[in-house]
Amino acid sequence: MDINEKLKILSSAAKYDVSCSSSGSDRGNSKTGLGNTVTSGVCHSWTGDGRCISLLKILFSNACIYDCAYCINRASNNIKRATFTVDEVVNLTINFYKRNYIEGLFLSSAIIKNPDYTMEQMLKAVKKLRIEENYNGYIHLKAIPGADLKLIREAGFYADRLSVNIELPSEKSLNLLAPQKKKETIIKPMSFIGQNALANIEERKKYKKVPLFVPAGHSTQLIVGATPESDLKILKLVEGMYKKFNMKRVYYSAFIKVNNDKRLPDIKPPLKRENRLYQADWLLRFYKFSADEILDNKHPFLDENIDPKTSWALRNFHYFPIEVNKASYETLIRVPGIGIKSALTIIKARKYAPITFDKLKKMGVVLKRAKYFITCNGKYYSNLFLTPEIIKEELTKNKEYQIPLFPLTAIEKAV
Amino acid sequence: MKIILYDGTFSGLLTIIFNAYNEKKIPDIIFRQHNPSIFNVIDTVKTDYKKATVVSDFITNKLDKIVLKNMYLAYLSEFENIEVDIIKYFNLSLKIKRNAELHIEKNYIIRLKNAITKVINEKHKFLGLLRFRKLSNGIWYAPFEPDHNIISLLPKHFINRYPDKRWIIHDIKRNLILAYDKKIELIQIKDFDNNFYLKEENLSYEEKAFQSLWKTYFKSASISERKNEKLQRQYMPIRYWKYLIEI
Repeated sequence: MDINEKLKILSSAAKYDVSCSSSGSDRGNSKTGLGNTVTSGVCHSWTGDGRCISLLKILFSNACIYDCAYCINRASNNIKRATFTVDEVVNLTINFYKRNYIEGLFLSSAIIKNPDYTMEQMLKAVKKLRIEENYNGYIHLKAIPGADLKLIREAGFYADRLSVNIELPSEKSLNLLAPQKKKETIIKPMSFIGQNALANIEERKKYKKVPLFVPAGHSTQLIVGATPESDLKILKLVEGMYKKFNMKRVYYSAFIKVNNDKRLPDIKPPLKRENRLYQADWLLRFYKFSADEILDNKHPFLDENIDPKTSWALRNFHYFPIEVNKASYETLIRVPGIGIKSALTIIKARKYAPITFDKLKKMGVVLKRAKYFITCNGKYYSNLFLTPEIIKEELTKNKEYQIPLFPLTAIEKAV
Repeated sequence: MKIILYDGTFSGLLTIIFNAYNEKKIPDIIFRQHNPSIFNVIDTVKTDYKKATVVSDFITNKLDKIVLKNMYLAYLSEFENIEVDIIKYFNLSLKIKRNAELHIEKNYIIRLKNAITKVINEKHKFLGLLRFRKLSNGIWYAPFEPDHNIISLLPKHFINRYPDKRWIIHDIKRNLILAYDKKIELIQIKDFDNNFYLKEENLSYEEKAFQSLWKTYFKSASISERKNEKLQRQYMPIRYWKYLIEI
């Protein structure tokens, strides 16, 4: 099989993995080496679905021995199978990188023969890139669940990011749809990578020469909508992973039905829900919200018509309106329409002169949402008393009120 | 109404600032060269490097080098009459003896900040959107046509990335070339065959093969169930497509 055909098969098979971020690492280059990484990450192109291409995202192989219900590469599917050689992966990466097509490599794989063998092949490719080719660009490597932790640890010293996909939000769902994957074999490497990454940061504070271990941290991905878990359940799980495993990011992937399988629901990809989950994830990581604040047992699903921050604010309307000229940073970032950047600008700018509605607009605050929740110098934008119900109606009746689907990578550079 | 014409260089702008400071008068309109004729009397300012150095040294040593950086970035936007906003921003910073960028109650500060954001965003975008072609002589060549004059912001990134290669970045719209071979140079060029890289004999033998692999990758990485060309164009406006390989 020629390389073009292999690339077609093995990139097409990898595309459902949504993570494409190249951020968070600042690996330097040597004088004669090739490549470096940029903390903010760089997008190199955008595909017809509007997703950013940052990394050459490929599978080492799609010849899988597992048979997961949701996966296009499952063993029982009758599809073309291909496996790269180590040299092919290296050659493609280097030549794409030199032409500035990509920011680096994202290498994943189906399970060939067994987890250890698969992990070994991937490790070989990565080592060849780093050692023989003197390549210092970004590498995101999938840690294969069930592979020897020694292999995973070694990989961590060559990759910028490792990730283990949790796939589904509960053990029950995993048993149903991916019976060969065990919760334990997923959690174990996750926690192992998290601990090692933390220890590495500490060691490097003491000794500069200690080699980097996954400098861009580790991440995971889960499929949304293939199984009945609520958003609350998902966010609780995610919150736990951020805390317990020192995880950098969780990616959400709207379920796309690629197989005919009785265990799978008949739905269109829940893109809106995916978008809302990303917004809620943002609230967890940067806006100091907890999962229990975003949702509760009475409201276990995110409102598709309104973003989670506004939704929270309307449910907790007694906190509002707040005075922008006095409120603390923590309070400001909880106001719908005020982001981290504008909150910081407000705090800096109000030292010089009081903030007015007009100024907020110039700073980039989305007044359409924020105006219901703030006062500027004691002034509220309206003389009428508005209830949360009326505000919600106002916000949702306007068709323009639509937040663009989250750019999966570009957003990271904002923080 | 004071209208000024200058050569469009940053040193030229600093010269204008030097003069404005001495005359205690900020010009109302500033044109870069080759602008359509207008009926008002125009003063032509000749770039004076000594004056320019005095101004830039003053800002760096006595004020804040961030002010100079902001002025330069805004200048690169090439927005119409942005020069006047830059001078006003300099003037205010001078008055309050520090960087005045937080005074967003002034419209010229807003315009300046907006220009800076546009420039920085476009620079970041082209870190990804530049495409190098390997030429038959071994040089890596990347043409582009940015909205703003961002080429001088690119060296650091690409030197770090490709320290061991010889490469050229070419702003075709402005006839500027950034050439690297262990050291970096920015050159203004004339009479250049802008289409030479499209001829196959000028490309290295493997170039077409990798271009075609890249096209294959680009096509197969898209998820048809999630098709959203509007979003694609939002991130990658059509005017940037000309020098991409994949689209």
